[in-house]
Amino acid sequence: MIAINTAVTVLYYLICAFFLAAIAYNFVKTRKVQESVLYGLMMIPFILRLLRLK
Amino acid sequence: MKKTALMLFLALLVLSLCAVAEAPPEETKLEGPYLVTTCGQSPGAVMVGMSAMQAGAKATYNNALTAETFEPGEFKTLIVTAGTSMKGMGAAGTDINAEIERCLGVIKAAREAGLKIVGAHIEGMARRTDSSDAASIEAVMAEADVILVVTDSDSDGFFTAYAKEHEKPLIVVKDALEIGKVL
Amino acid sequence: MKLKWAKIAVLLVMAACAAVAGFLFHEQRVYREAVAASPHLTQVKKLSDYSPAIKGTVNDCNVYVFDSGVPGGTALLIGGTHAEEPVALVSALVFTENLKVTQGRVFVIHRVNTSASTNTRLGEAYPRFFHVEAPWGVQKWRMGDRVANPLDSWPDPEVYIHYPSGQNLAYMDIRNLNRNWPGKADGLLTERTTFAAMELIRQEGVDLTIDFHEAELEYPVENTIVAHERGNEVAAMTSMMLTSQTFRVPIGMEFSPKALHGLSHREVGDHSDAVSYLFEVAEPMLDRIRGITDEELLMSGKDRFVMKAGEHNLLYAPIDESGWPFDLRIARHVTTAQTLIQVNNMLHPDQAILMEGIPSYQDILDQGTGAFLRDPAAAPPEQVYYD
Repeated sequence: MIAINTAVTVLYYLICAFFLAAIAYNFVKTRKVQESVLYGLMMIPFILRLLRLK
Repeated sequence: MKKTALMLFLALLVLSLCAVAEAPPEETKLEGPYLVTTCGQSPGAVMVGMSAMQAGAKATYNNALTAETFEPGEFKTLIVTAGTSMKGMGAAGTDINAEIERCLGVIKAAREAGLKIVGAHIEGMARRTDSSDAASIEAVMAEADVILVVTDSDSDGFFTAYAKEHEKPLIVVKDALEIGKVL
Repeated sequence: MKLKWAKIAVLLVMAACAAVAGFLFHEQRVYREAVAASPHLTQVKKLSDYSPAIKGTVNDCNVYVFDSGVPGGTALLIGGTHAEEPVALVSALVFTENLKVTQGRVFVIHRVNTSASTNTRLGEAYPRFFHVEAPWGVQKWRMGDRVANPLDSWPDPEVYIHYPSGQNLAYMDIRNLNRNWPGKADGLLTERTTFAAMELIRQEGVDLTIDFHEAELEYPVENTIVAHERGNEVAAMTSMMLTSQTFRVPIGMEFSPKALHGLSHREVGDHSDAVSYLFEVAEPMLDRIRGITDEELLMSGKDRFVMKAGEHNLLYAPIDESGWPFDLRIARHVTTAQTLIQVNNMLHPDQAILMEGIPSYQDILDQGTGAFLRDPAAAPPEQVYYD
């Protein structure tokens, strides 16, 4: 049980990192200010998760 | 001297009148040993048992008592406490309808054996909150020869009115710890 | 060029938001609660001293031991099962900071599910900390959640299957300490925590356990003692004595259901020689219909929405303008624990535990809880511990 949970947790953080990278990529590529604000907001919870703050 | 004797006589007379006034009427006199059960698996029967023990009265509680397992033995009075406990009924794996059926069976058997039936509500307003409590109270009190309640249970006058309407004797004690005093 | 500067501005604002949020979460997670223990404390152990199952985890809490050296009974007082019920924590703490045992032994745990105290309930806007004023200053504790922090125990199963009963429970209850008794040595964090606590109970030969809780007024099991069947008589007598002689609002008693698994009042009694009790007291902040959820509500226990529900007979405990203040809730728990132990002494003299130094119900109401908390800064360093 502990081993399975550890494996799922590692996968979860990898997924988080992937989505953060994807959002950051879109943030860099977008030409619209409004979208950049949106991507900026979306990155916050992923950062907090990756840093294990929440 | 005559005056002192007269005063003494008057004092004794007043005291004896007080004693007469304080003695419970015959119909509300309870006689042990007591058999106690609960209609709704609340801890009322345990409390009556503990209060009786403290007062030196003989009481036996059995929350699973049925008409089939009932044995009159030397018991003189059956006390059935009303008011339900969801946790208690969960603990016993039963429900309020089964509880009422069980208790009515026990009451019938006890009455046939000559026991006095006391319907009791001794856990206060906390056991008068829902329809299960109401069903338990209605079933037990309707069969009771005497009603025994604590002040909190009757704080809205429900039992006083019920006893008056159905012409049943009512005993009100301050709280569950005081029950032993009337047993 | 304009877009570039706009994005830099967005990044700066975003970083500032993340930094503030991150600081607040981190502060609650690492805050250490000081305990200035009674001079009569004998020893402080770790829960992992009884089982390696939780060694190195956040839930390896302190176990405060008061051993009189005189043969008698052994009691375990458990605080912090649900970290959003802070009176449970502080009631246990009042014992640790004031107790002197002259016969038998008393073990006290303040934070049995420490992990739950390191975050608050999602979406409920709970305060992160709460404070009590003492004559020497202000004491501060974490205000937590009902279940362990997902950072410490994650993911939850789709359905939590309780061990050993096999009963199905809601998924998040795998992190709810009071659904995980008697625990499992190789389970998830809370299962391992209760397993270690059970080992404590078994290895120390504990005679009775008291698990402090608080409950919403909408919940039917309120202001009561829930007892394992071996403790029915002790609990009934305690309830009658306190209702008759001490409490304005009666304290009831409930039987522990045999078919409901995972709760301390059921499993501790079933899986050890100890008799298990659980105390509940009314806390309006836990009600779903409450108003603003802040520290003021937590401490005063006053809420006009909860009062309105009471006017419509929707509650299982009375409430009026005076509310259910913190000190009243502490006074009830501390007094109930003392009385229950005294009644247990009467009915089971071989398990006698004699205690001194614990404030009375009226003392706590008159002087406030703060009057019975010691100043960690002024206490000798060897008497100061951290949860």
